Amino acid sequence: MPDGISAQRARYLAGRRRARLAVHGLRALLLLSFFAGWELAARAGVIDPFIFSSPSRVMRTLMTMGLSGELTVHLLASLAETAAGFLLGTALGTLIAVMLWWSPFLARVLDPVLVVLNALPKTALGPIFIVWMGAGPGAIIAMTLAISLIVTILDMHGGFTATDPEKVRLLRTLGATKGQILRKLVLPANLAAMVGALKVNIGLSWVGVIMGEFLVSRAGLGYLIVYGSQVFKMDLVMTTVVLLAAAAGLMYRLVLHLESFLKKTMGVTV
Amino acid sequence: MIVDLQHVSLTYQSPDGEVEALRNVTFDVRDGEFISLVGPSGCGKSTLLSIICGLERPTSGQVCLDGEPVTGPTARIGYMPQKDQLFPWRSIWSNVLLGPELRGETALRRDRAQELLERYGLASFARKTPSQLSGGMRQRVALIRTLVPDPEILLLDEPFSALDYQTRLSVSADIYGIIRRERKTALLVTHDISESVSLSDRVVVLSGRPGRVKAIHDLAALRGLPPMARREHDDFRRCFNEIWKELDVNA
Repeated sequence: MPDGISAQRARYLAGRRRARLAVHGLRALLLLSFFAGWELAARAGVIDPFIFSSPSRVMRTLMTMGLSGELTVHLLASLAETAAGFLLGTALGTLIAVMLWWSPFLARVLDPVLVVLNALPKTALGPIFIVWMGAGPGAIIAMTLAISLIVTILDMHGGFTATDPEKVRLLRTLGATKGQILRKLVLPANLAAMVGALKVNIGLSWVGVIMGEFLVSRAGLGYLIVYGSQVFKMDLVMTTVVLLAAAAGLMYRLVLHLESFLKKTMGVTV
Repeated sequence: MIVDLQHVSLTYQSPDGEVEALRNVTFDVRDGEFISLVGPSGCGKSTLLSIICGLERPTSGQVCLDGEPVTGPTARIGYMPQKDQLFPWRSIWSNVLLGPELRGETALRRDRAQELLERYGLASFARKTPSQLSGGMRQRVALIRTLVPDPEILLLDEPFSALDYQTRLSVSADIYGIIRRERKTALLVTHDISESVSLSDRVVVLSGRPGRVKAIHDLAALRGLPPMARREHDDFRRCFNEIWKELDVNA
């Protein structure tokens, strides 16, 4: 037993360690048994590997794609589009939300527009973007924006207008201008909401990018999935889905890091 | 005489009709006085503070500060809100300097902020965040934030209403002590009669909506005594009962 720690404390800490180990262990086991079951079922002929693929086929596909440089091209294309849509959606959404907060009159005028755009299935706009912007990254990013922008505006504007009116009153008695109320109170008070919007947007941006790539494009993970299914290369489709899961998880992790960084620098409590 | 309210009336317009919030309110706050404003909830006490602060314009009548009509927020008036309203993402130090920061006078007020924090035992907490302080200390910080711009009169809007009874007694005595020591004039809004009797020189009683001045009590017998001693004083109960009857809580 280390110095300065009571027996009770040591037991508590050991218990916590055990619980954490069990969680991580079970997670790894779950993942492993999924892949093992998939592989075994394919080898035993329970499922047809031509249709369902198998982990070993996925690994092989990954290797060949990696060696030929295909992997990098498609992964980078999708990552770049997602990042662009994500950043643009968040920045533009916040900017528009600020404008609506600034002018309640404008917010009232635009309310039905936002409600209808929010309810509209954004995928319906895909063909329009292709006609307007051509079959390329432009249309895909527009698609991503269409999906994430409106939600961001509504979420952020809701947060801005819900800022504690007593704090606004305090700032006004101290002689604050509207711009100061925005910078000193409304934005920092809603940092948590902004991080929340980032988290939602990362998922929505992937939806937009894959949707967009289904419709147009000659590169990207969405393209690989559509191409693979059309020529019945299910190995390629499955490999891409696995890659997509890894990329989406990785990007979400990045946002979590950004969140803890913002919390540390701004001291915001969520 | 510092603050002079002359026939202040306020009527709100709303889609459902007109709401008369204040009717012909006239009283003054003299230099160095501690005045309490009591009244039933919804009688327009907070609205009256907004008018004195210059955040709202009365429909008729006016508020004068040393003879000059109030037209907008001014550094001569310090406002202390309900709850402490400290910004959780700011340190105690930058919370306290909020007012000067907004007016672009941070450099001018830094020494004063440091001095006040030291005088009231908060200097070692300057780098902490509000969540690391107790309720009473947060209230002190909120008062110092109000004092840093060096206002002549403090408007206290039920600043103790969020605290539990025990804390409330000690915090109100504490805040009272600081206000007296800094020789500030104060106008306290409260619905707690015993709080008003234990702290003030005069008590202005407002009626229910529309708010009118029902009576002004001069607590001459209690003047100069600290809040805790007042609560023990023979006159305390008498003053309390008089105001209680006027508030007519059951009517």
